[in-house]
Amino acid sequence: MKDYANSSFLDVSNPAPRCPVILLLDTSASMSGAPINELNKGVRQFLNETRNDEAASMSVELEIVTFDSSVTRVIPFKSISSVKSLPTFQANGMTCMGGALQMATADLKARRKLYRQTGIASYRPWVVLMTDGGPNDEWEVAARQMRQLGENGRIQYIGIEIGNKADHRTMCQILPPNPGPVRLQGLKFKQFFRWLTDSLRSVSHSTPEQEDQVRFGDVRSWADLANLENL
Amino acid sequence: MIIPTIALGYLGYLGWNMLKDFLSDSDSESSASTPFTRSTSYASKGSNRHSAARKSTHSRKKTSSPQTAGGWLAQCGSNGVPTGGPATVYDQNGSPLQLSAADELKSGGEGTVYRCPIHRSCVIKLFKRDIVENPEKQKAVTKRLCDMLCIETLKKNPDIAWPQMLVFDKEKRVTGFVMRTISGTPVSSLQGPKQIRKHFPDWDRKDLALVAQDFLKKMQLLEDNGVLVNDFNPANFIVGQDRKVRLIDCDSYQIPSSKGGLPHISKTYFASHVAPELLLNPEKLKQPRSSEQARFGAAIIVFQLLMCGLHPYSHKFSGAPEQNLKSGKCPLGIGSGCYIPDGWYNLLSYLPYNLMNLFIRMFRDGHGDPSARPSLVELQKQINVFLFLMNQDKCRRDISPSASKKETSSDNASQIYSAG
Repeated sequence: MKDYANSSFLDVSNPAPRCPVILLLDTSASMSGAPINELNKGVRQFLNETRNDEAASMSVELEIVTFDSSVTRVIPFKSISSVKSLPTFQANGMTCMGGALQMATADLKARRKLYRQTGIASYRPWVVLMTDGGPNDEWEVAARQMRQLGENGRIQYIGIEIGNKADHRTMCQILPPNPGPVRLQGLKFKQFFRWLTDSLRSVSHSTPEQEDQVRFGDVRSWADLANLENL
Repeated sequence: MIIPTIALGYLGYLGWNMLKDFLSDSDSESSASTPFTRSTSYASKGSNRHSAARKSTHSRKKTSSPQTAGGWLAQCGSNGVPTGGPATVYDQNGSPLQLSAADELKSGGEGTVYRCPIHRSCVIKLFKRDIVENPEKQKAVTKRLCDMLCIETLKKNPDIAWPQMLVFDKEKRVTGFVMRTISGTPVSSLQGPKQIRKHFPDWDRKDLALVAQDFLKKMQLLEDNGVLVNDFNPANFIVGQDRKVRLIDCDSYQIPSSKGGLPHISKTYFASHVAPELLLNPEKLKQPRSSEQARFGAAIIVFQLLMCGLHPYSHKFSGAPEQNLKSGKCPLGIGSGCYIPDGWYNLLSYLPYNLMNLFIRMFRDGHGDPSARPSLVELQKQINVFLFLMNQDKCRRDISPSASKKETSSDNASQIYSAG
């Protein structure tokens, strides 16, 4: 039997359907201080709380990619229950969001291919893009595929703008129009990540065929919906 | 529907103080642990499992079109009908009982389950307001409950969360019912050998076969009383340290009518554990189900128990098992045209020939032809044989064998398995 478990961190002895989750996190200079601190706390909480739910811990697979002047795959796709340690993110440099999107698109494609090859079912992947600014690098081509996947309902594509200096116009082009980028209320990272944990918990208790019927919690605990037109 | 006291009389055990007479604390698992153990996912507060996984009275098809306007945001927020929160319920004598928000255990598609503050061995399920306030729905649900209360054998069985007593609101409408507390590990948690070792560290395949044996006994017991399971969600079957299976979520079972004629049906099903004809022709959900349909779902649970969670329709180069269940593409046996998932061949190879044959008859022959599906009795027989072989050390018992039966013996019968 091919050694999938070691090379790609996929435990084939676990037959549960997988839910891939990619966190694309802006760690550029403007995030320094309170924003990066709260982000660190939020991600740590997300890891702990999601792992506490048995179904979610069997299903959720996590990848974390940070982007500043370069793109770093901090945690490659693996079961959330096997994430041993989480580094503390530091903020400095520019915002290579295009590069992050390119990496995420490729990684997601490879992961889904791996599931199919091994005969493991999967839920709709979640892609969470968090930024307080906008891309400084080439992003149009990189963003296109991910946006397409979001528009076609093939992924849950969530774009979060942090603070009031985000490049909203560009973000509206990067993300699918429905619902478009959503602004975080202040620095409510913990509330967002709690909502994310609850949503993934609900998904993990359903089956892939029925996940369209799953209801997620109220976003008003963390989202500033003031500038969303379609509500 | 207001039920006259005399009519209720034959249902027995009328008040809160009567509960203790028949819900003894010596109910195997339930006395040892509370229903709040982490392993019981159904007990986790706020879980949306019911609304997530059940298709209740409306048949819903998975839409293949892109998400509707609003994307992921459209799936946020409740669908409007409030559930849970504090409530006051009354027994038949009008004695009130306060249920606080702290007593809430889980909220689901049809209502909320609360722990019973006066008897820890039972819980109380209250229906959603829209069911109680709709006269037609309320009447239907009450009739179903009353007919369930008539089946003494199932009501008394300590391993089934069967309704024990009706509860009422202050308008004297039936608003819910009392049932036993059930604790343990849902089958849905037993995904793979690691999970099994986590919950049952000293178990091997013999223990899993004992669980399967008890599960089939319960299915037979239901069938003997004219009752069929509609929703084979693995989360509804709770496994105990004593190798027994306990049944929860009995609301959606098909119940014989005490007046004869058509039974009380339910359109609920779990997409990955349902007879394919019901997926291909949803109109059939409006009709009573057959034992052939129920045994199909039961056989998937049995297969998963023996195979540490593997679904019989999962195979390589494909999507979710429920899609394969619909199309009938099953990797078991020769000439299946598909391969069982990586890493599972070894475990499969140790299933005895005759038992394997039954699964092939169920999931391949029986896919399009319900009459080809083996009966519960046949399944029970072959599980018993499997147990016998393991007890005699003629069959390996480990749950993650490092080699297949073909590699360890020259038994030609193992040729039946599709190696890919």
